[in-house]
Amino acid sequence: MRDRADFESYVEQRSARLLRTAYLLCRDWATAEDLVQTALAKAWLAWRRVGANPDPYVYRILTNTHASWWRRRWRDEVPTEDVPDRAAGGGDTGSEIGARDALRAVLVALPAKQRAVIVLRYFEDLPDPVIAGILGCSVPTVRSQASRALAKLRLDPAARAAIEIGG
Amino acid sequence: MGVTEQDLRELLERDSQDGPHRGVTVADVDGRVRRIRRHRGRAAGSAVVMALAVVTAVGLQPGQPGQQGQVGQAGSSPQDVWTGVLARPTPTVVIGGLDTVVTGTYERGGTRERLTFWTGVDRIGFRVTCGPDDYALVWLNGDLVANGRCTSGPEPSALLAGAFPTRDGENEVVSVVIPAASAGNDMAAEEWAGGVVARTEPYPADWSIQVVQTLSAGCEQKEVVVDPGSGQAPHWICPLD
Repeated sequence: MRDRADFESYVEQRSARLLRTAYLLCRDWATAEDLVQTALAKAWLAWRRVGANPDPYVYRILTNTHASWWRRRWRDEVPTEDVPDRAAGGGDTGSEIGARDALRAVLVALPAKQRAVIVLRYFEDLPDPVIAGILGCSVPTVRSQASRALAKLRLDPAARAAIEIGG
Repeated sequence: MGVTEQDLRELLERDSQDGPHRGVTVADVDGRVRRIRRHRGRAAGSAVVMALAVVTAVGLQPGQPGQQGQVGQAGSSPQDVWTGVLARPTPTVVIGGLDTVVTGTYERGGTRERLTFWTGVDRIGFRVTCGPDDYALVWLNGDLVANGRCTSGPEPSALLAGAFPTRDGENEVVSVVIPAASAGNDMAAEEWAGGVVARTEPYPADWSIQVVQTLSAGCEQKEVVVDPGSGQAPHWICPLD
């Protein structure tokens, strides 16, 4: 049975990584800390029932909580399907920093679920079936969400095709 | 030229590197646990007040052997519940963390449909939306946990059931709808249910199942309420721990 020592050890070993993941979801360090504290607190309240690997459980709480906060934040606003152009100057700045800033802006503008898929896939390197389990959806849904996100990020079409096929 | 997958990985890696060094400590988490417990304590008090404004629909005591209807449900009929609820003052707060765990939408009856999810919730409930002439059956990890006609609510009609404990790791939900006329009177008997389903030919039927998270503690006292504000959405309510 999982006990308090297990939990403390888990927090010590995993909180830094969870914080980074949370930051990538919400793009604010204070909110990320809030998210991780909340996720770990909820995990502790259910700790005896958590399986041998607590990560999927904790990631699930993290992404659910973030999505819930995100919905609350946007309730009175209308998110748009259109995202800002990545290169404001028509792509002719030639600046790597500018391109990264633009990419970052598009990442921030992604809906919560698409951002979660991107972060879990490309930061946590989790396979799609595990992401599906965490997000509570099917594997095809994960892939379609990733595909939409990648289209918005305007990932190189050849790379995108390879990624989607490789799933 | 587009960015590459590697660019994306590097960007995520780089962007998350300059965070606060202190991170989150066990003490921070303990503080948050206390806050959550205080919050739940206050919400539980509100639940008592709110319970006066809603009608208990599902007691979730085990069904009586041989009794037709939803497994785990007892008491008044679903139709009575909706009528009663709509006549009550509008509840303004719905208690319960009822995030959808997984959903499935289908166009064929008579065929078992399978969904899976990983443990991330303690208990789950089901809302099967199907025609009033359909009869739905739901198995959770091999056990028949809910069955009955979709007769709850005006539109869309549904079968509501819960809260059922999940197991560690992967969980499997298998559901099917069959014509109510085929169901007989004792579908709670698992062997009979399996046999009737096996004998049912696939047929066109629009139906769906929504698996929702229910709160962990005290869900045996669960209630189903209708929010007249939205007109149709049923909610599961569990006393908060």
